Amino acid sequence: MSEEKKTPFLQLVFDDFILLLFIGVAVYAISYLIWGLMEIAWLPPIPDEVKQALLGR
Amino acid sequence: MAILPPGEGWFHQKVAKDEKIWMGLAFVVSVFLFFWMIIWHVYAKQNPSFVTYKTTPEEFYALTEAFINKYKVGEENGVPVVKPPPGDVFLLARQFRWEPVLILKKGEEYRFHISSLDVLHGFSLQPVNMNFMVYPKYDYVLTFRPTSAGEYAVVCNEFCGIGHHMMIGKIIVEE
Repeated sequence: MSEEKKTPFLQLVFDDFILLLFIGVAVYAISYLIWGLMEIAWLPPIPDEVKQALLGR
Repeated sequence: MAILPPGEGWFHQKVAKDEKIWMGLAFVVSVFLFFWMIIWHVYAKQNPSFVTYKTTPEEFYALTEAFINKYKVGEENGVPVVKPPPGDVFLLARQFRWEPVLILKKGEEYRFHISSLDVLHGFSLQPVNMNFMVYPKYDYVLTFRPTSAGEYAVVCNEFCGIGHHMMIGKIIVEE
């Protein structure tokens, strides 16, 4: 038991190839999803000068 | 996963020099490719430089209608034909047509505002084969400078419904 406790956390991660596969997909899936949502949320409206040139208001 | 699992205590072993060199090289290549992507975008003119604005179908329709009324020079099969000056031009996609027909001048710069009134459409400029997706609620702005005169077809390349195959618009470039 005492030997098991000494296994570093990163070694546990690196030794589990299924976990590595999951992290490899999940990190990019989540970060790209968040990036996309941020892009959509921060889109500006059509500039007023473009609207005024056509609609006159 | 390696064919043979590493021996006991691998985690605390010193990383060999050749492995460090390989990791260093891989890192340098990644950083080089990252900056190459930016250089490619700016100098190679491979990717379209675009801007996107948030809009609503109602707002975009009103803007396109105003644009058509301002620069209309005729009609072709019920689709208005406009001849705008260089600058902002509007192109509306709807089931199952593009409007208006645009008459542009060669060598001038135009900012295409493209959006959809209903579902997802695809802007495909033929025969030059430039393809962009057209979403409702988003104004996709592309800057174009026509370099050769002629008639170009705008084909919808995202299946948008039963009349999808008939959704063909036109852009005329004059000398």
